[in-house]
Amino acid sequence: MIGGVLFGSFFVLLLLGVPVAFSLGVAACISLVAMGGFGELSIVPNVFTASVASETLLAIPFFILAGVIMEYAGISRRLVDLAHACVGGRKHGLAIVVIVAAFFFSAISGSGPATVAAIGSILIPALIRHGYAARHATSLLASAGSMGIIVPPSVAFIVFAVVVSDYAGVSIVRLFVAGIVPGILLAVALVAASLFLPRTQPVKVAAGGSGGDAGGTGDHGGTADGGDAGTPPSGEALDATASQGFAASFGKAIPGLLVPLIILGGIYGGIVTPTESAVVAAVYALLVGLFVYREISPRQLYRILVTASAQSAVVMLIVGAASVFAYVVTVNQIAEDLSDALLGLTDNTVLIVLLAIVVLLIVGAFIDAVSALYLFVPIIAPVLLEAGVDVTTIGVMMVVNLALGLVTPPVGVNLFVAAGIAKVPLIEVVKGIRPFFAAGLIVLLLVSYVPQLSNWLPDLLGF
Amino acid sequence: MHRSTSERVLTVAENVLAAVPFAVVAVVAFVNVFSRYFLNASLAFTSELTVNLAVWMVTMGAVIGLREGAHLGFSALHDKATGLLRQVMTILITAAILVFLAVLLYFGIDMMIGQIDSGRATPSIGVPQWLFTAALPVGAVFGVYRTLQASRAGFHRSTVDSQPSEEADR
Amino acid sequence: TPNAPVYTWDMTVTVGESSTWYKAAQRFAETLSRESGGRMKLRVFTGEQLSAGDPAAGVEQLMNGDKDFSYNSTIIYAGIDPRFGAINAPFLYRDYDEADRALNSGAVEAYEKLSSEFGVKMLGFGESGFRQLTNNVRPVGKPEDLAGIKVRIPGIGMFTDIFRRLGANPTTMNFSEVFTSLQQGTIEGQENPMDVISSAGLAEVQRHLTVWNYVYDPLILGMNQDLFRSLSPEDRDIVEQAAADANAFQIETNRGLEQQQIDEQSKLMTTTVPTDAQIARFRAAVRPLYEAYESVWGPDMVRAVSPER
Ligand code: NA
Ligand code: NA
Repeated sequence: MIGGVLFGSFFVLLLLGVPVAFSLGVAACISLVAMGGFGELSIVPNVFTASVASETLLAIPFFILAGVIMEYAGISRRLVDLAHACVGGRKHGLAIVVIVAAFFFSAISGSGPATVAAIGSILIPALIRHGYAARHATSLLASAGSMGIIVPPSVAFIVFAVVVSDYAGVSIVRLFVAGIVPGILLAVALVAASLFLPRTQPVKVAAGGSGGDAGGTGDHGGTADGGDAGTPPSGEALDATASQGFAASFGKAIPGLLVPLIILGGIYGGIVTPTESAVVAAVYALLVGLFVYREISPRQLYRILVTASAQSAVVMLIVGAASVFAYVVTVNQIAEDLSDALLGLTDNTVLIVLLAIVVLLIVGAFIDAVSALYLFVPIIAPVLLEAGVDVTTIGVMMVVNLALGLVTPPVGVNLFVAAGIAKVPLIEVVKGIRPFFAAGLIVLLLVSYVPQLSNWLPDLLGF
Repeated sequence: MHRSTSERVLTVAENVLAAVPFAVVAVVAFVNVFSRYFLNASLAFTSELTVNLAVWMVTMGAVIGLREGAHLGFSALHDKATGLLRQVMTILITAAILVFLAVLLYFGIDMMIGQIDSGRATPSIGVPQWLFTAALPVGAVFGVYRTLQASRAGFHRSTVDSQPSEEADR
Repeated sequence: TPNAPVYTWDMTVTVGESSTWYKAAQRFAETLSRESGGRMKLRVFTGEQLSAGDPAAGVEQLMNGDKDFSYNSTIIYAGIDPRFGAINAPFLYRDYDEADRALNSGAVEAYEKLSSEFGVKMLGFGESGFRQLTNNVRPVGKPEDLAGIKVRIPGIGMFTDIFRRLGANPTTMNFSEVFTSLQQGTIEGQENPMDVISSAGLAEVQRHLTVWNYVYDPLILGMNQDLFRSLSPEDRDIVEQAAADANAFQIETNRGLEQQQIDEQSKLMTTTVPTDAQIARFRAAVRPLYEAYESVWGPDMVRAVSPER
């Protein structure tokens, strides 16, 4: 009964247009009152603060901060330049540059939309100038950005580790390492899909064109009042630097390329925990921005902090509200009932996994990855564990599944960001997404049914 | 103009209440790593400070999110609706957000009072716990204002990461 | 009686389903149901699931009536009010006999009284047991052996101070990251009751075990006090007797298991059991803490927990 009230009111609120975090929170409040009157609501601030004040989840704001700093510092632009120097010269080279650059940036960013925002403001205009239709340029960026939560570090893996701990223990580090091979697979699949993109003749743009305007469309926009504008890269910059050649681009990108080494190497080498690695990465990026590239002025620190705290809060508010939602699920043992119902349908592992995939694809179309993990790990993880799937594979499978949700309408964060950067209607992005979605689906099926893809590397490295 | 001045003060207050805790948390966390590895002395007490300050960062950051229309949601039906239907939907969305903020406000104050009564303080450095819990009612008050403001504008910007909305450009 | 009230209560334990805490809580639930003729239903949740995994927030729920029962360590209560930490003082009791004598001659009453101040009816003590040390650097048998070892501790000030005094490098960390961090060397040691050391399989990533009984860690079986007072005298009897039975069962099971676990783990790690003389040296090393903490714990609690020697 309460389960009906909880999920029912959640979906009504969501469809009405209430932001996901508030839909979760209000649905939980309605259910609490239905359970035992207004007094039950005293649980809300208690669970909200308990969930938000978590040492493990503190990694999320830190990784977001690191990503924002890296964009201000000019690290992302130099990674794009390097990718361009590596593969830019070939046919469809620029499309491959997008995927390679997104992979680089995914290795330093923990979120999908941050990845799209970081490289999209340079690469979407460049793709369009090179003859790609806006719908293909934006959908390619949106899809490539979904590697952000698969390739470590990953906000989604952190949340999965926290939520799944009630059913099975798995460390964040193991999940991070497990995401590497699937991330590479997705990159390869996206490259394959991009080879079929139609292209017209490149458009010649006069030097010193509209770059200044494009500069304002990164994720710097509007979160802090006043202050001078950041220095997000413009589309033309890419063509100018492309001629530098591999050695020069590589040299300039080294500080950026060191970030994944600091994060994974720091954790693997036993120097820092995942949360600490994020803060070390942020400080490192800041030092690079201040003293190596000199693209960050001390005054910009305030803007960086405000931007990063707002971006973090958008995720963490969902964590807090979803935890209250999860409280209602737990006390009413709703997840157990749904899990049992799911297990009652079939005992065929192949079918159960397929069922989980379909459920998460539908869920991922409407809600973000963090909400989906809080809502559905308690229902799906016990079922898959019972069916004999290992917890690492479950984590990778759910995260890849929800990474596809980032590019599935109606609610696909990466689509929103890409559309926002390119200033094209959302529907245009959606039209171009099909080949990339198909590529992602193939990878999803592979990681779901071949546990070695997730487990091989962490087992090899002994995590 | 009077209103734009107060608006600017409010914005700065929100930004500072989110950014300063964030800066403190990041600096303390970094100093902890640094001292553990280079001074061989970890500041074990710092984790209670960092995790609790996160509550301020999150609630005030969420207010900025309301201000910027950055909270993620499914806006397709609301965007398509016109006329009276749209107005009704706008009111319902506003009401829903306000309900959650009201719960955080009322029961957050309740929780603060309980913590003041029991004298709960963080275990290592003894900061009164209610100072952290205060983020909920304070954030809720700011949030109510920003919600009403967004409601008057019809929730026009509702995407993510403070990206300008694709809707706004149609 | 046909009109007697029917209850559905929630209880949490901090650890998982394989723990003696959970088994005792289940036994508590069964006894309540049986003795009340099915009127008292108790649902048990593991892993602090009702407070997003945060035990201190869970104790707050118990205190303000959002939750009905819990097993929580006094270490967690000390996060709300440091007086609860008196019984966790370092090297306070040599063994269970000494702990039992202190508990039976005033400590239990003192904790009942203290809990009552916070709206918790204490239905007796269970026991997480004595906390032991594991590490990867060297066998630890005297204070100097701890020099510079990076030890993960609970996030309570007293533990930082203990390990500082002993010359170690204490650090806090979420328990879910402890195994990997020990494996990778981010930390070199940790301290916990034997049950945790054993069930987390820490021997896979730790070389040395020290059975030094350095902190006694009792569990408060707490019930929300308003709820307790709202019960009829007969129902209070049922609850109190069921609680006493559950606590006795938990302690007996835990102690039996602990010896078995020490025997097993000794085969997997080099094991040091410090002599009385060595323990005296540890105790001397942390003596200044007692002076510093007496004002924190308060004279009543200090007197109540002091060993009967
Ligand atoms: Na990533
Ligand atoms: Na979606």
